[in-house]
Amino acid sequence: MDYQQLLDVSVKIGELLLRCEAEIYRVEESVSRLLEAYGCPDRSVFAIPSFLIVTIKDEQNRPITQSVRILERNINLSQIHQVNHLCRQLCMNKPPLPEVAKKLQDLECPRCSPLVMQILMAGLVGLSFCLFFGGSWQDGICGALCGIMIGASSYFFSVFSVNLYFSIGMSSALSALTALLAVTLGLGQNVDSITIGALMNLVPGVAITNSMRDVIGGDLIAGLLRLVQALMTALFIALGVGLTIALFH
Amino acid sequence: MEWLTVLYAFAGCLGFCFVFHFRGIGCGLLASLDGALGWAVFLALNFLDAEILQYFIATLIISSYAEIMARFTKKPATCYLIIAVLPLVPGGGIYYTMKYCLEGQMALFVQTGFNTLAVAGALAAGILTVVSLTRLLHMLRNRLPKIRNHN
Repeated sequence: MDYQQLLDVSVKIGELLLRCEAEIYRVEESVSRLLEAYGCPDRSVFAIPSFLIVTIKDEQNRPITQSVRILERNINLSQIHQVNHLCRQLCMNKPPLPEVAKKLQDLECPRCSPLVMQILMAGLVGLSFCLFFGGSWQDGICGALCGIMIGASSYFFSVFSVNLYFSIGMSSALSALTALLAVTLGLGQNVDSITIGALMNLVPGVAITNSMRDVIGGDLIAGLLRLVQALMTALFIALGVGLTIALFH
Repeated sequence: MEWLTVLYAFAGCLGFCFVFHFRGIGCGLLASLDGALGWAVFLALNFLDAEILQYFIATLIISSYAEIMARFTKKPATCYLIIAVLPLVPGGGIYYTMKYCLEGQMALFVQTGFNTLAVAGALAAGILTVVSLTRLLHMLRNRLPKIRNHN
């Protein structure tokens, strides 16, 4: 058996999972199960959100290690499903490795929702959470506008691969500006509920819950990384909103 | 009036299905329903007057629903779970924490911060309880010869 290729395939699977923000235990377990299925008893897998390292032993008992650095991560639930599905199939059927490598290449570019839909739905999120946090219907419409603003500006910044925190700060500043303008023009009344509703698009609620999951599940480093990231994201959102309010209020 | 928020939670979750690239409108609706269910449970338990406990119980219900739907639709439970916890998740809390930090209101910063962590902890504990129980059931049913150590 070609251990090098097995390692390539399993690291790739782990990388794909980490890139769509799968949980750490899922990544480690998937890679480990795959290696086990292909007859690799001696293996060690370690993952944190930005890094994955896998070591296996070949038939002469020499260790081979491969690691991969994950730079960009985006939640993509369909991709998690697809990679997970593929991994299960591999563990059950054990097709030859070159075939697997081809299948993995198809998954390289994750399938996303259409861009227009994503931006419009950011508006829906703004609308519903604005109402959720006690805004009136007029506030809800302003929330939708701010949400669309956030969706569009996040996309704009991601195209030019600007620093993540800068992009988050600018998006929330723009959204707060939209909210202030809408209220000044008499479209909405309650700046607070408009802002927090629209900011649900950016706010790292899922990240902090996942970080607690990692900590309780025993992945302490991953949990701490996610916690710090969530705090930094929230800090930059607050900075962005604070900047706008200080400048224009 | 209060119960209208359940509807808003549903719509919000549906929006997030697209933001998080959850493809397939049927599954998206199921996940959003889960989110609305979680929030409804939270509201229904308001008489307990114990916020953290309410969060914990609501997450137990959400995760069970997610695990069941995962079996039916052959998708990982996480997909449903990530969408469904959104109405409960302390997004506002962490934002206000950092806002108070920037404004220098230290007492409020510490109070909101610890409350946010407690809520996140309650959610995580609820999710992990159901995940562990499901695994246990699964193993007992398959009578796995060896019990692996999941740490």
